[in-house]
Amino acid sequence: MRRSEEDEFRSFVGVRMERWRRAAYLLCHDWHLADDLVAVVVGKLYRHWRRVSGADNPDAYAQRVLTTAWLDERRRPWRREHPAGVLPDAGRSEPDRAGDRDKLIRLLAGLAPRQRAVVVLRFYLDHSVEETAELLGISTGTVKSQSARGLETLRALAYSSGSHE
Amino acid sequence: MNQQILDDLIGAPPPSTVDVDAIIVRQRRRQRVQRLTAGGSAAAGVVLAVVLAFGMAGGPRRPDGTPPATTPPGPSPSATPVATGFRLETGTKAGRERTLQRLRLALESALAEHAPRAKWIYMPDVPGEKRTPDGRPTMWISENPVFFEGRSGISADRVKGGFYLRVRPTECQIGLSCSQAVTCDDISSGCSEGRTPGGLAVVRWTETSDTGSGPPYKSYNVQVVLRGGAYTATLESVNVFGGDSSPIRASAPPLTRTELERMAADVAERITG
Repeated sequence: MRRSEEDEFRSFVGVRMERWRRAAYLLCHDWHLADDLVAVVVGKLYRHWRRVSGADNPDAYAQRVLTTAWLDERRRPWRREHPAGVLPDAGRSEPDRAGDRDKLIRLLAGLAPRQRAVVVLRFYLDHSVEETAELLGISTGTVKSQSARGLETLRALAYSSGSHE
Repeated sequence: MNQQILDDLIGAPPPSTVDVDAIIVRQRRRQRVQRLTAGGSAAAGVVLAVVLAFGMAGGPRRPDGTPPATTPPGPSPSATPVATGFRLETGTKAGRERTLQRLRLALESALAEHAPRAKWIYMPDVPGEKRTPDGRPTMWISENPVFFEGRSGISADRVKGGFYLRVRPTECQIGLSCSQAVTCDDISSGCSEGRTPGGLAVVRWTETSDTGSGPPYKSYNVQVVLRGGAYTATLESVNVFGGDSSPIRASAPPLTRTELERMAADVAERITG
């Protein structure tokens, strides 16, 4: 990879890193694993950067790699990760948000892996029904039906937290 | 609106542990190795061609012009060299590479011996990637902690599915993820424990889950605690042909439980520590 391409790659990754980490966290609920998944994405993007940078929608490519990496990880028996010893700072948030966050995590944890991916792609990464269906390789009807429950719960969360539009 | 709500609910994330510089260094190294390997294969091909041409021409002649003595034909060597007993060398890069190659040989020979009806086939990893040839599992090394992984498609009796190998440490280091050895207490059903013929502890289990349409997801898993207890080897055969988002078509994984368990015992017992 040429220097200019590498600079472009670093810039692309740097701008999106936090969004990918958060999306990965919504998928797996574990910041360790989220960072592992993002590292997989960064590695694969680097390997395929010429093709990715020339694609119509490099963001969609990256998000597909992230989602696939997570679905792949879910299929493996060793996905039961046991973070050991002293964990990094788990992040800070206002105390009154902790209950909502737990509720969100419970909501997402209650969904099957592909349903959870639908919710994250549709409502966090703002993909259309068609884009989500294409990214996950499922029908638009499936995306619509699996989105409905997530959207309803998100609206309830928005209402309860007073952050609705 | 939704993105903002979710961001609020997630709260402030912990500092990132994704080291882009280190990933780039690893990827560059990997590409260099691949280039060298490709170059080495080409060189080996040239050498082979020369040797063959030489052989077809009758080989070297003795000074008196008579051809060399030939040995009587014997049993032809196995197509896959067999990895005999070996240690997991994790301390040096060369040792890790050596271990990875030995694991690959052990795995290939175990499949040939215990599931001769099955073969390795290419299984996509990322959309649109360049297809690699059938016939070999993809193997790689992960660092911090060091572990060895493999993945491949498997085809047996017209059933396609995924195969995964992971040789991981059981001891967790501070701040790093790890996989402690699984016991049947961790698994709700479909699990049994036992020993390999050589006495290593084995856990076997089956995972299934409904996918909403089509056959359910199903995977057979075998984990063996390696000699010394510092590492486990886990083999999985699954009816999902991973990476290309294609729907599940097979009702069961391509390898049977018995085949997978024999393979796992075979690979694990070659590892001496």
